[in-house]
Amino acid sequence: MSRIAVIGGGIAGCTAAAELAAAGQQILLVEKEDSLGGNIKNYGCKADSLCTRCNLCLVDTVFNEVRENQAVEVTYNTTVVDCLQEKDKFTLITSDLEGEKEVDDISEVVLATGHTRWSELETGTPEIFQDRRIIWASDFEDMLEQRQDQLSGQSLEFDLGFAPESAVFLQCNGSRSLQEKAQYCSRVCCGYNYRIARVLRENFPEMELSMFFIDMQEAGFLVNLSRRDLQEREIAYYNCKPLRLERGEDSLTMHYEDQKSGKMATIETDLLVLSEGIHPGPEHERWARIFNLQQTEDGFLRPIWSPEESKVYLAGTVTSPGDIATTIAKSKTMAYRLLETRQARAEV
Amino acid sequence: MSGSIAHYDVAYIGQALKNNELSQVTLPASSLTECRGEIGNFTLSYQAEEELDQIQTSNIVINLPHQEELPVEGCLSLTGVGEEFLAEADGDKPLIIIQDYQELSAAALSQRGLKLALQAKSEDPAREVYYFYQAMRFMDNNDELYEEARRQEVIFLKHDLGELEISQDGEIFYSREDIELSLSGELVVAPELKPAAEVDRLARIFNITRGPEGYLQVDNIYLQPTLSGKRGLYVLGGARGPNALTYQQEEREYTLQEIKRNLIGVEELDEEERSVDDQKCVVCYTCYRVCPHGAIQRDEELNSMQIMPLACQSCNLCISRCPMGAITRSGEVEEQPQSDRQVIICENSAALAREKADFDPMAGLEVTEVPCVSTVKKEHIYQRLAGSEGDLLILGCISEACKHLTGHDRCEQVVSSAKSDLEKLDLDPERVNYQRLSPRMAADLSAYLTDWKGEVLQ
Ligand code: SF4
Ligand code: SF4
Ligand code: SF4
Ligand code: SF4
Repeated sequence: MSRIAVIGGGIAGCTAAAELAAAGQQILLVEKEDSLGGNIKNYGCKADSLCTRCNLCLVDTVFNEVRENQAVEVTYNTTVVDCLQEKDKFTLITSDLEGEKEVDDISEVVLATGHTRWSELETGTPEIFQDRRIIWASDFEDMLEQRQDQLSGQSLEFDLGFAPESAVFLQCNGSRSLQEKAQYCSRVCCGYNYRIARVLRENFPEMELSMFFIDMQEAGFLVNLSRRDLQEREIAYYNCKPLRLERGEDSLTMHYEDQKSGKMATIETDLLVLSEGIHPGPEHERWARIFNLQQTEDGFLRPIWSPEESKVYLAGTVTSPGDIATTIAKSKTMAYRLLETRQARAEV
Repeated sequence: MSGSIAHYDVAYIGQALKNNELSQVTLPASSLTECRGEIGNFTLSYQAEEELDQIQTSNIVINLPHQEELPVEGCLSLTGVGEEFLAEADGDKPLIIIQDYQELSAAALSQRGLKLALQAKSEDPAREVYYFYQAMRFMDNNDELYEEARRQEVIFLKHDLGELEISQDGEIFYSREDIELSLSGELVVAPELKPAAEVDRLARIFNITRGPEGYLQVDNIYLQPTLSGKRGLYVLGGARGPNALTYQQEEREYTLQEIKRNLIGVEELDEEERSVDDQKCVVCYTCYRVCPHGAIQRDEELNSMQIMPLACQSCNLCISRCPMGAITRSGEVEEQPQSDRQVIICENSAALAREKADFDPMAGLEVTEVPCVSTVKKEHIYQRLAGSEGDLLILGCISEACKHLTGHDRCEQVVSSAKSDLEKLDLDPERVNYQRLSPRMAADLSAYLTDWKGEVLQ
């Protein structure tokens, strides 16, 4: 029986694989790392006293399904380097630790290799990141993930090497700016940084928290994010992007323009948490070439022909930024479409 | 049974979705009177002209528009202005668009606003267009529209940075450190979105729990964004939630695909079967009311309640609440663990956390896994405590990670009431404890258990 190849073992790929396998298909799941999970692997639960509906804990069931379903073969440490198409079948050239291989008899391809985080790209100002007082939101996620829970009131010194008394969150890093190679809004960072701020507020009620927004976005379904929510949690709100960062001995100083008064102002902080935009994955050029896809101005992938014709289905953040719930929904839709087309073809 | 009743693939309450493969029927929300049955075979009763009529359907989609409230009296609504509005516009008057007037507007409204601004500019490039907002919200290609609007010289002003006042006769005053503006023109304001009309009635008819603000979805915990708590019943738009329009396109497509998928066949979620003993049932409707998934209905013939196997999501709440003990579960065994350290864990959280941990944190403990901790009754707690010298720890879910909506709260109440009973009887209330976990909290799980074991050993 020919198989469907799912490329990428993150949440999008695993959702598609689980859905297709449940419908009786044989799946080859190609994962470039040594375990499933993709970007999500390093995220942590961001509940304060209540669940903040980041939807992360819902995904474990998806990964478990993939691991347990016999119809899914997962090959780790493997990438797809080329693809040959003849008649109705694909042959994938994969490369793993042992070298290149040909995998034939592939009927459809689901491309779900996700995105790159801004922190994984060249940032231009690496010296900033040798300062332990400046961290990426994903570092914070890592930290939560390692503790596998909330901070449980333990000092941050444990993870950061110092115990900050204040934190500033900086939005729209690596998004909405030509210099930062992404003119679009990444749509998820307002939500996760707000959740991280809530986790800090819950665990460290004394801490001074502030967030710099350009435009505050929706934080997902059923989660309110508004100035009022920030106010209630005593998280100060600034409506601009700071202009300059000064690294003093004792603290970091952010210089910003107070737009209300039109004057320059400053705020001091012990810890700076940077949001990070969602950027196109590193393999997008290759995918565009070998699967005959188009790259948008921003570098994300678009089909040229409908997947029903090309048999290449795009799932998750390969097409645009999105949160966990959206990614799952989008890749389920793709899986259903694939099944439907298969069935229609079988009937003919 | 009722061979003459028409059967459809999907029934829409409100607006139908575009699709020509499914057989479908559309009913207005106001006409609906009753829903019986479960996924694959719902029967809907509705008021047709003079008499009641019925149809059968495999799936139901509630797709109703949000109700809107205008934050400013006498202006036009951003959702209400069409093509003709601009065509008839007086180009000398500026167009004034306002969003986020009180609450931040949804991304879908930003999209409307941006499109309107661009249309106005393309009809008449010389026309002044002002756009007052607090936060531009992004979905689809909003970012491109926003850039384009700036290029077309739409004037964007943030009104949380400055003062915005709208007078009775629609005049606008805006002031900021460096700007003073007084304007009058055609005023179009983003409305505040509220749940669709009739959602209360629909919630009662379908016997589903409502979420925040009264929307028909409590939480999207099923990895299926538009599913309600009841299988086969989908909610969209103003029936679903305040931000439901952001991913509307994807969600419509998704819902249709899932419906097609359902038509191929739906399976029971659980191998066990729950049934009501019609001799014991007194038709008190307790189970009907507690079932979070609308899976119980009255069987008129037997004059008893009936659990619908496809709709049931196996939380066992009904079993724990039935005052007559009339509901049983196949495969139920009355074993009484006698160990001195007993743990009852919920399969939705602690059981998953246990699997995640590197080594089994519960090794050596007497563990009972339940579909939802809300099924633990006070009597169970006493039985277990009486049956041994040891302690009992119950591990439920962190708030909304609970798949059965309120199960964790119920259990906490039961435990605290059991504790106060023990206290009254001069027994040690610390013998029973309750903790909440999220499925990811493997480290916490180990910590709780270590703490607790430590206490037990003392
Ligand atoms: S915050 Fe996220 S990971 Fe934590 S319980 Fe809620 S949905 Fe799950
Ligand atoms: S989601 Fe928020 S932080 Fe991220 S790019 Fe959009 S506006 Fe900026
Ligand atoms: S709770 Fe028990 S007695 Fe009451 S209606 Fe349900 S089955 Fe019958
Ligand atoms: S077990 Fe839960 S879902 Fe099933 S009928 Fe009882 S209350 Fe409803």
